[in-house]
Amino acid sequence: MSAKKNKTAVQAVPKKPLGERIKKDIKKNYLLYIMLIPGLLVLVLFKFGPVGAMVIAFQKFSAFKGISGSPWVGLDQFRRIVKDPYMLKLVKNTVILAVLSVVVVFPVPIIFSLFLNEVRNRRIRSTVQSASFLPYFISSAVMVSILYTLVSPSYGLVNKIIEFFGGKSIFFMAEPGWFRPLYIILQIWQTFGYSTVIYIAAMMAIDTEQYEAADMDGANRWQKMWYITLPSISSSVIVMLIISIGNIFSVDLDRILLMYNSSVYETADVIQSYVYRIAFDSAGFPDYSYGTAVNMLKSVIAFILVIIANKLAAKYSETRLF
Amino acid sequence: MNKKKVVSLLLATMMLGGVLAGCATTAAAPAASAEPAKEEAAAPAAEGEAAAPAAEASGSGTPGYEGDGGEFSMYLRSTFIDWINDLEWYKVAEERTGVHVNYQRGADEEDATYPEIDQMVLSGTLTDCALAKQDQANVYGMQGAFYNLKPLIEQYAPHIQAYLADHPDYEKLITAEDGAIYGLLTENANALKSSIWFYRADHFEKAGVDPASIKNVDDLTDALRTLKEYYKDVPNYYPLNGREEVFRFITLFNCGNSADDSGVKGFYYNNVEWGFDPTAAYDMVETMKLWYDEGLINPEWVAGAFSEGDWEGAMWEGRGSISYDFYTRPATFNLAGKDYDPDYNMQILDFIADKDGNPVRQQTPTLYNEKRATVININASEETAKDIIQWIDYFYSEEGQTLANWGVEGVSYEETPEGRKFLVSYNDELAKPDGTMEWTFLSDRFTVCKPVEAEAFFSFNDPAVAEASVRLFTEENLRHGVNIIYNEEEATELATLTASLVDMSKAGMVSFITGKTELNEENWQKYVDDLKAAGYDRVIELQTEAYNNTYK
Amino acid sequence: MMKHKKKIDLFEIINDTILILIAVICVYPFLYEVFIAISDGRYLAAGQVTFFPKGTNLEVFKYVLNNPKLNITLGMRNSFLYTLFGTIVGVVTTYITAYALSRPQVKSRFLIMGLFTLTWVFEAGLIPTYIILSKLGYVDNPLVMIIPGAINTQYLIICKTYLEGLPYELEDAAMVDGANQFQVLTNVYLPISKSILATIGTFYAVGIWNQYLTPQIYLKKSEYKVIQQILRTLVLSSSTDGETMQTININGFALNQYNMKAAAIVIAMAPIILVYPFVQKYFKSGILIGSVKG
Repeated sequence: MSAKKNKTAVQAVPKKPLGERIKKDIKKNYLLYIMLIPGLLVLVLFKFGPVGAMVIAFQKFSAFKGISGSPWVGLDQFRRIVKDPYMLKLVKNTVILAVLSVVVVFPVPIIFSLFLNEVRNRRIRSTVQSASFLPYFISSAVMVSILYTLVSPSYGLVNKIIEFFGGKSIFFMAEPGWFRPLYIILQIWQTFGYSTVIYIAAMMAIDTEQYEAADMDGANRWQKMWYITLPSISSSVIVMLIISIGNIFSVDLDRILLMYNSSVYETADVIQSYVYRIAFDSAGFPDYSYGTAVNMLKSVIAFILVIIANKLAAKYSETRLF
Repeated sequence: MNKKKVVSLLLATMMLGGVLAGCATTAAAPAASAEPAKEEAAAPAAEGEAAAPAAEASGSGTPGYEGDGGEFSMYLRSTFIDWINDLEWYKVAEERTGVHVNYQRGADEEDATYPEIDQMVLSGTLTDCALAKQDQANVYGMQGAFYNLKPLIEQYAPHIQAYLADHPDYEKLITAEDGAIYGLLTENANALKSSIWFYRADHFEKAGVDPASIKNVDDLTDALRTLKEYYKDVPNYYPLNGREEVFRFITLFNCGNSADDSGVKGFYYNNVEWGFDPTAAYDMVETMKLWYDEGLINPEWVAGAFSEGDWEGAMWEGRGSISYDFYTRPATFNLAGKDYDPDYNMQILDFIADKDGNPVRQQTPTLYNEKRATVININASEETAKDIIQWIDYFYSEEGQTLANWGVEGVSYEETPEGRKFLVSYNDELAKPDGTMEWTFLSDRFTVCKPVEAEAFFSFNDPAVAEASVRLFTEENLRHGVNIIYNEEEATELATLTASLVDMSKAGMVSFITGKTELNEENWQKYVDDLKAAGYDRVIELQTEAYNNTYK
Repeated sequence: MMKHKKKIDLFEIINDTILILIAVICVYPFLYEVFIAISDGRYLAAGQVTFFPKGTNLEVFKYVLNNPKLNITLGMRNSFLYTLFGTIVGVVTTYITAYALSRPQVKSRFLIMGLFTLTWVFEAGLIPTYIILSKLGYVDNPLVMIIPGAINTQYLIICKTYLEGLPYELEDAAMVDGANQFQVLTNVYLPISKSILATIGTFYAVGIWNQYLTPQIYLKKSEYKVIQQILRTLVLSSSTDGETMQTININGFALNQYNMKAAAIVIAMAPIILVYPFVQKYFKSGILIGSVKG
């Protein structure tokens, strides 16, 4: 509010020539501009620099020659993408993981929050919430390492349980069929506490009078959850849903790189891991240009999705993401 | 009040400084290294002419060494550095020559070191010299990243020069398309031998298996069955055990790769020793499936989830009896084996014939190791480049070779009428904990670029291994891999193709072995067709093209 | 509402039990690593350890910390240093930038904020970033953990939103008293920004501590490696040779690779778990600012 007031005040000043105004502004606010310098340096060097370096997608970049010395090849790299037989599998794997993340992972914290909201004992409530939130702060390296020991075929707990029930131990980390379930389980484990914080906060804001009125009308617990609690958090849910659809292409690369190995590439290799591999872990020469071209296509699609998501969020809940 | 202001200003400047610090280091580094290079360039001829005769004339230096000491940096796989640091003879070599190498630790895994070289070339942080792959040496060398070693050798390295004259095939191999030499390959001790079969003799005795009865694949299967039956109560016991790559039995089933004038078969790029021909692997898959179904082979290993540590644990703790692996492993197992089992006794088995009883030639790596090319960074001064090449040259002289292969007379070896004999014992030296100096002569571990002396290499071993080496590693039993040098396009495309294809073909075979896909002619044909559709034929085409470029 | 509480409600009993169970499942795997670490290696090798430890030996922690080959101590030290300096630099830069961008006098603030947002939404990707940073000298330079990530756009937005929510009159009043803009920042806004500073500070700290990919790409020299990389090498890499984690016997207990791997995991996660109870409230407030207002 106050900021707005000030803005109009500034505009009311009669206009002077541009150069003079800039000079006066700098003289008056030079300290603020000095404060901006580190931020601008970061912006230019570390945020725009890389965007500029994306030009190598149109080159045949060679490590030694650098951007200025490498030959330009136009759209050759993009033509290669179309012809690459492996690309189809990568896109398929990426999309499947992304869709699973939305369809399977997304509803978990909503259900969890609904039931957590029903807990009356405050101590249980906060302890459960803290416990569910903890994995969010643990690094992917630790999470995957824990998973690795838990499902180890020779001593891991999971296989011990399977064997106890007469099953044969499973080599989870080396089975292509198990990669996606394990990835999703880790994702749920690691993130559902985060979304729960948001939903619980929205539920706290619900007017208790609504529940009291419902009690008067003889509504049971399920009816109250369904007709009061859930609708009250619907705008949060919509925003979260839109965010996750907008981010559909951003897989957790750390997790994938730590989890995958050559025996599960079939299901685990996604666009980002492939780009990482051909650039930083290549058995031949790193294919920087091709990797950048592949990633550029992905970034453009993701960018469009996020913009659409932002528009939708603004429309449905009067909040924008940025 | 002012204090706070000062603090925040300081913090802001710190930030600025930090951002720029990054820039400053690169800006400074090339400048610093460029300067001496310029100085050098000013008087290269004069110094070169003066220095070489001076070294010879002075004579005060070490016999066989042309240089006058010096210091340079070298990027190397960290495991190699650990080995070098413990080597007595290496220390002597540094003392004799006055050369000191500052090693920069690279990745632990060998294959991870080459991408690091690509990255150092990109960022301009490469050390004075490094160990690269031959194709890296050629490609970046031709772009101007590395010294042309040819004039350096002619000027400063008479022993390497003589070696080149004696080995025209070698010179041809390391010469790039533009006629220069950018990488100096090392001889490959690993090409003198192959993996071997070894077994727990105590297990065999208890289970009643006669090792001499194992002549071919079927005998092996029978022995595995007997062992499994005897040890069926040991949890996680699988008689046939191993680490990492499970498709080790390619030669037994004639589905290994090959390269000759008729073409290149199977995966060859980056995988000379273990590359297989998936289109010919039906028999192998069928037999491995049998082993898998009967619990004769470790299923974790088949699934690709058994690391070196897992395997060693299993073989020490009695959860495995037979392995096909590196030839010094039996001795290593025996060293610690008694701690686990007083009866522990690992012995070497003769080579096994194939299904039809025909003897099998074991595939070895190439005679020159394409992944051990010493390159010199163009940003190193000419003086440094000279020091490096003279240091390597020392190990091509007779004195240098004696030192690297036998050590010091009277200390590590003695001259006898029957030839040289080691005074130090392999088992004693290897038993020393890491971090203590030892006399070891394991030429398969990279130390410096040098020729390999087979006699010294084999005789410095556990007595049983030394005996078996001489008996088993005869030319009739071995088939050496062929060096193929790839150009940048071939290397890039092959790397990209094989990155997914090799794993895809392995995953397909594993799926047959574990029974997830039923093994029959129809499914097999589909498997082969899928591989071809995914680019297998292109791999063969590229490899053949590179072979022809190398040899025709 | 109060009436319900007195009654013994079957739903609540079941609901509470299930939720507590879920909480236990969330946390148990962390405990499981502790159990594996302290169990006797012989039982582990024989596959006899299930839910709880079998045999207890705390030597394993001492052993892995003192074994220089495992590099755990080195990795922990590096991670601590990068986290400490990275957090300080991140918080200071982000706060100052957010402050300047929240001042209406700065006319270009929308443009600058828009550019930050644009580069946040449109990812350049690993390779172009690598090319730029390597040219700037950040390869094998520990500053890569501190400088390039100094402004996380999300935290910048959180911080700016917070500052914009503070009454502008504060600045006016201070300016009338003769303070300059730096003094306004340090004397007026900084003291009332403690909670937001704590919030973004904890975000940065956890973010840097947990990083794996950046150090994996940029920090190749073993002396610079962080604990997350070390953990990958020890636990997940298939070619870790057996010698580095060879079975040993201490006080009649066997310590084998399984103990040592679990101990490494426990050590790597310990700092986060230990500070978690004290900082979780900052996270919650940060998430809420970030998501609701944005």
